[in-house]
Amino acid sequence: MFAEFILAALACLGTLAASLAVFFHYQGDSEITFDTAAARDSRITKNMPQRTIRCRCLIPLANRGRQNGMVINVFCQPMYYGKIMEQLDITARLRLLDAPARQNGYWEAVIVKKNTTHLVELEVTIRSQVDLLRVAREIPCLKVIIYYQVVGRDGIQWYLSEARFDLAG
Amino acid sequence: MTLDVIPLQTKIITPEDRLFQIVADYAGPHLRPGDILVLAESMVAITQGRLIRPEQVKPTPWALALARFVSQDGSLSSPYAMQVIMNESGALRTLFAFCTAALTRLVFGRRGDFYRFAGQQASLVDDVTGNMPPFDKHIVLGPKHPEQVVAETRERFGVEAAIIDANDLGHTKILAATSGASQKLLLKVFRANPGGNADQQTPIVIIRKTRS
Repeated sequence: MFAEFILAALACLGTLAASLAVFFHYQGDSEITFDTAAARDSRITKNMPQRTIRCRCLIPLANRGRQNGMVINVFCQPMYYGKIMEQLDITARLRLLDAPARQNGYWEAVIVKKNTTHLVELEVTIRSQVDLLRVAREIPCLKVIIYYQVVGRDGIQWYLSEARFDLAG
Repeated sequence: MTLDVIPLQTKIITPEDRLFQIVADYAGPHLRPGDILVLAESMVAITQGRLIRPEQVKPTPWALALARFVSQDGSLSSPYAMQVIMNESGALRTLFAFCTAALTRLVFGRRGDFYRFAGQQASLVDDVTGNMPPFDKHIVLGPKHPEQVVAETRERFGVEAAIIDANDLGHTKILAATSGASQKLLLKVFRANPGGNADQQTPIVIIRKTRS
């Protein structure tokens, strides 16, 4: 009798655990990406006398998951290309286009609802101590790494995307 | 008799600020006898240091599981906010509230029992993105001891006082009010949320009765 009771209790618990697992799996989570492959409106402006290059593009921030998610922090950093970097001052910043305009680059945490896409502007400014032809020769393609922190149903996840600008073109 | 509703813009209030100093600086010069001084609950909570970043919270499997049953319109759909509430109200109480609410919803179709049983903090917590920068990356709890705060406010400033949680959806909750502050009047005034819900930075509102 007691063994049967234990068996029944275990069966109930097992069924409950399996049901929850199926429910959680079906419910899913957010799936937020900086879709750099779909970046558009890329623009590179070179100012030879001032030795300055400005790069800009729009990157879709898309949630293709089944749940909403929050992008709390976003950081971007140009890749390190060796000694030439010591003669360059590179600043990179991201701005959500539908957020209040800020000049200081502060990323305000944002909810990205499921099946929605926001546009993010990536702006890179390079101030060089050497002439720009040399910069383009040594860094024909500038890569910018975007690190972003997403909070979803499963907790905090960090992701990475890579944007690129063709400086030789 | 008409009402003047005066929202007061302040600097960004941080945990380093002292509530009564802020009230004295921004509301003090404007207060008149008979006024009702209304403080935003998030301002009181922030000055009490009741905020935490999600990175500082380790959600348990219970918090991860319970949060999945909360609609994403609510702050507790985040496992971090759920864990903060479990730490605040007690894990057992939160679990009890969850089970009871699930039952009453299934059997009687009644909603909101989770918040009734889990305690006031469960309905006051604001998840990440629920507050203006620099607290957009924090979970902000409700204030502690709101009754004491309003009593001390009345004592210091000589006017009736209340702490209110209002939003642009017309939902108003009076956390505490001194005896002379009419709850009916407060609800009526704050239905329109005169303090705003975005970056208006007006966490103090004075309600003044004037003869027209």
